[in-house]
Amino acid sequence: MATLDIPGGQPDLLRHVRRRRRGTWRRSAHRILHDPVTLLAAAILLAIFLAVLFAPYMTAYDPYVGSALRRLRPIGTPGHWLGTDEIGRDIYTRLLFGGRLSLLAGVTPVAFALLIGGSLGLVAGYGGGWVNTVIMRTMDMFYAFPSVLLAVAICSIVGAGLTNTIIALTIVLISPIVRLTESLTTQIRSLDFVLAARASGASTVSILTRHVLANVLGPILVYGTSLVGLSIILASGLTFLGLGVPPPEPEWGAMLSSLRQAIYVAPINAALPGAMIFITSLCFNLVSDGLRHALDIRAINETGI
Amino acid sequence: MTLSVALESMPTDRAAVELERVGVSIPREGQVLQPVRDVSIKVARGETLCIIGESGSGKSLTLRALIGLLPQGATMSGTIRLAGRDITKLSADERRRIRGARIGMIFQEPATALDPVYTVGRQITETIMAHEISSLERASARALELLELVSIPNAARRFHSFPHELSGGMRQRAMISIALACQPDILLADEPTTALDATVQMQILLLLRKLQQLMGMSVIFVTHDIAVAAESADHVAVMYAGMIVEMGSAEEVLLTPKHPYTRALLESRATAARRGQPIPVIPGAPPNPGDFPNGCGFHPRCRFAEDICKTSEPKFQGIDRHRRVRCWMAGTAPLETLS
Amino acid sequence: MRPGSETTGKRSSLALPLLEVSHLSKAFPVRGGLLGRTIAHVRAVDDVSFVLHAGEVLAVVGESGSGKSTVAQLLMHLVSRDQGSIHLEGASVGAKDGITVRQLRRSMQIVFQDSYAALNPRLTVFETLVYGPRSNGASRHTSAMRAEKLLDEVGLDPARFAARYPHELSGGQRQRVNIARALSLDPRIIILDEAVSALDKSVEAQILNLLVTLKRELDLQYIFISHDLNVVEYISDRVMVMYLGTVVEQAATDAIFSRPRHPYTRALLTSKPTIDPRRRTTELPIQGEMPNPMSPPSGCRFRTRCPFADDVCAAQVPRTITVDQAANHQVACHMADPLSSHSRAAGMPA
Repeated sequence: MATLDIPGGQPDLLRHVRRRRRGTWRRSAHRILHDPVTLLAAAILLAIFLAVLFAPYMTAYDPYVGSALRRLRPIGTPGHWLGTDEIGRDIYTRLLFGGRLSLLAGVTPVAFALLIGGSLGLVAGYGGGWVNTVIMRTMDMFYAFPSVLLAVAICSIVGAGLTNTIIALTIVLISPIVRLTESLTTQIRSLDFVLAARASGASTVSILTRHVLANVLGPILVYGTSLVGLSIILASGLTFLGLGVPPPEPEWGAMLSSLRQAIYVAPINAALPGAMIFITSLCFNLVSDGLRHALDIRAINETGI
Repeated sequence: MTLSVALESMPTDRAAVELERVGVSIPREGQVLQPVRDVSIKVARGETLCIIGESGSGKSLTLRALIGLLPQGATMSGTIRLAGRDITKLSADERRRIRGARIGMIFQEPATALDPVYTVGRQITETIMAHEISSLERASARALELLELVSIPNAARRFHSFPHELSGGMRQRAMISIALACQPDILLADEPTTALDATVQMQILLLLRKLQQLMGMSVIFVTHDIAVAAESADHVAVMYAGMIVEMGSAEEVLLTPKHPYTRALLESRATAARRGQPIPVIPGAPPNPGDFPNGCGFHPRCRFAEDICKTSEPKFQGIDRHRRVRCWMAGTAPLETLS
Repeated sequence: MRPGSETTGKRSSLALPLLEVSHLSKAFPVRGGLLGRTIAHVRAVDDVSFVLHAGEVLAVVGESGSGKSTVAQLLMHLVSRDQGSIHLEGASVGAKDGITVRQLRRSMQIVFQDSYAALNPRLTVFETLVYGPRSNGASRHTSAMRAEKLLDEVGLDPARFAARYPHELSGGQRQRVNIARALSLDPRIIILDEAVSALDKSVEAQILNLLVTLKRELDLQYIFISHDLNVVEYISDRVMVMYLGTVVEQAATDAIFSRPRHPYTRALLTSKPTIDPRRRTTELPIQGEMPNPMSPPSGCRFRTRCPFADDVCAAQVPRTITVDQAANHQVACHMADPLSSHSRAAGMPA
């Protein structure tokens, strides 16, 4: 047998490989950090997150208290830089506090759906046969409904309120995630390297985690991030229809709904919550694109950046 | 069409197709790659030229430069003449008209080269109608004739078949009939038999030979399989690292190779005679377009390499009438002593 | 030692074979219709039997659709067999008193044709190589040392290649990694499923040399699946020819190449393109193409393309006849069967 000639022997090799792996992740991070569009979007998101987190410290007003005298003041009014709504409440304050609810309603369902849907998709994709049929045909039922209708239908069964909104949106988002995960898993599972892993005697769990999941995780996460924007819009839509968070909670969708009548009188005020929804979901989508670009392992190693 | 008329009236003793110092450049991430450099070939009417090469040799891109289907961002230098007429000066529209009408091309993977949503009969008819006959009836009749010409059994029924309903060999025949639909002067074939089984490969090679004789076409065949070249070629050009390193008649090049690469390639085949002994190999691997060595592209793997090989690109020198070799050592003692 | 039995292919069956496959069959259901019911079966492998002796390279030759890759998958138990048995060193795989599939996989590994698809694109070469041993209980240290040694053995400098990703390797290098991975579990038999077919010819020669060296140094046996008859003639001791899921002929290599008995084998050998431009093929060696595996011809599956087809060929499946005991040369053809009613059963034309 050939002798080993590596200077320093075996421990060096492991270190070398580990360094390369870290290097790959570091280069992923580097790519994101040098992508101006993604950075800007991420910065905006961070700003929004922090602002709504520290909402009580960012404003002196109470989001629930209004004044009949100061209704529908325009932007730039001293003391109310974003104006007031139809009950005289400070819009800036309501946006801040409302952001908590909207973001919660946006991110939480996606996180749960990724967990549940991802697992279902993996099992369906890898298992095949009747397991696949049962899971996928069930998902088809949900998928057949347009998301808004489905959310509305579920909310009318379980009732209104924040928790129910989150439940409803989770259910809505599970089926597209399952579909994507199952499709990816099915493709990967028939690739030769998975066959080789099976041939080497590895257990199913080991194959799923080491080989299948690693290759499926990237696209799923990217897809999930792009779903956050949708989720926020859906949550706002539900509230707008009266099925989500009840008034006087300052959720963005609720604000849109209540400011609806003011659209002819103070159109800009009425548009502000919509603008927040738009900006937030756009930024999530941009970050999602940036993530996909940064996680592309081939591009990372080929360009050496 | 005035263009076809102009080409038709050219005297027939001229080479059917001629490439003069053709090169292809592709910019990639700051660099400019040159996967094809200084390629000059001449093919007479009714003759077959095989370009032999491995990956990275530039053989496929040379064909695409000829037909004008280079990838995005790639540019071509040099001259291409069809029956004496310089086609590099033509507009994109005129070149498109030549494609299919004067030059036909068949590809390696028949499954992907045919549109899966149209029947094969429709695809052939479309090509005919795009260039020559405008009546659907006559074009369809012509298409059916072509299917019979390429020996597709049950041609009338297969006319209405979709590509996925046909086997690999039949798809390749369908692709050939599309390429021949307008009776081109030149047929280009990019590894047409690589994806096929051995028995089907032989059928296709014999078919191409028969069709060529029937229609008097010139054929340029690109392949990495020397045996395919031996079966089909009148002339052979060997490409390496973007350049032609040896050219001559098939017998000359394949039986008495002069370039070290050609020699080594012919020797590195697994044969029954070698059983029990290691096969002589060329160390290393063919270079990618981004890493072509300085001087002679083959020098890092060549056992005859001298200093001059490392610094200067050898010129394409004629040995006798048809034979050319691109090697500093050609004609010198060390090479000659090897039989 | 029997006279004339220099090559291992001619060893008498008295020596216990390393691998014995008997009457292996597999049919894949074809689903269609609304609820995905089974409407037909593709009989991918039908009654395949062969043996592999110690020190041998057995080549499996056939065109696409012949079932040779399915045989490989059945051997590795990546696909379950419908019928038949597989014995490794006398022990039946899957039987109660035999060995488990897991144990089989310690002794038999596979290298695939597509060198890129066979590697997880997110793992470095090193991680790919340690995965097998680790899955089978080896410690981190042992696996790492083994990985390093393997890279050396397949001709890749560990310092340069261990930390690379698959897309940073050339085709030949990737295939070396695949071979190293197959070796990582210290198997006795390696199945090479068209392992060199997708490589450039000069690289193919390098890998073939490597395979021959490894076989000698590590005392391996190969099942070499290929459609390239030149390579088969170079490397194998025995050859098994398959057509549409059945074995039509098997014998020692020189018997197959110099005295082929089955019409299909002859056609295959004639289809080999010549390397000499002065001696070109002028006649079609064989007509038509392989029939649809969902509805193979009755009786002998080759009869639709066979120039010698007779009535009995459509009526009965040909028996497997041993035409030469010394070379263990077997043919499945009515013409070789003196008891069949084939008009040429007396003897084949030369």
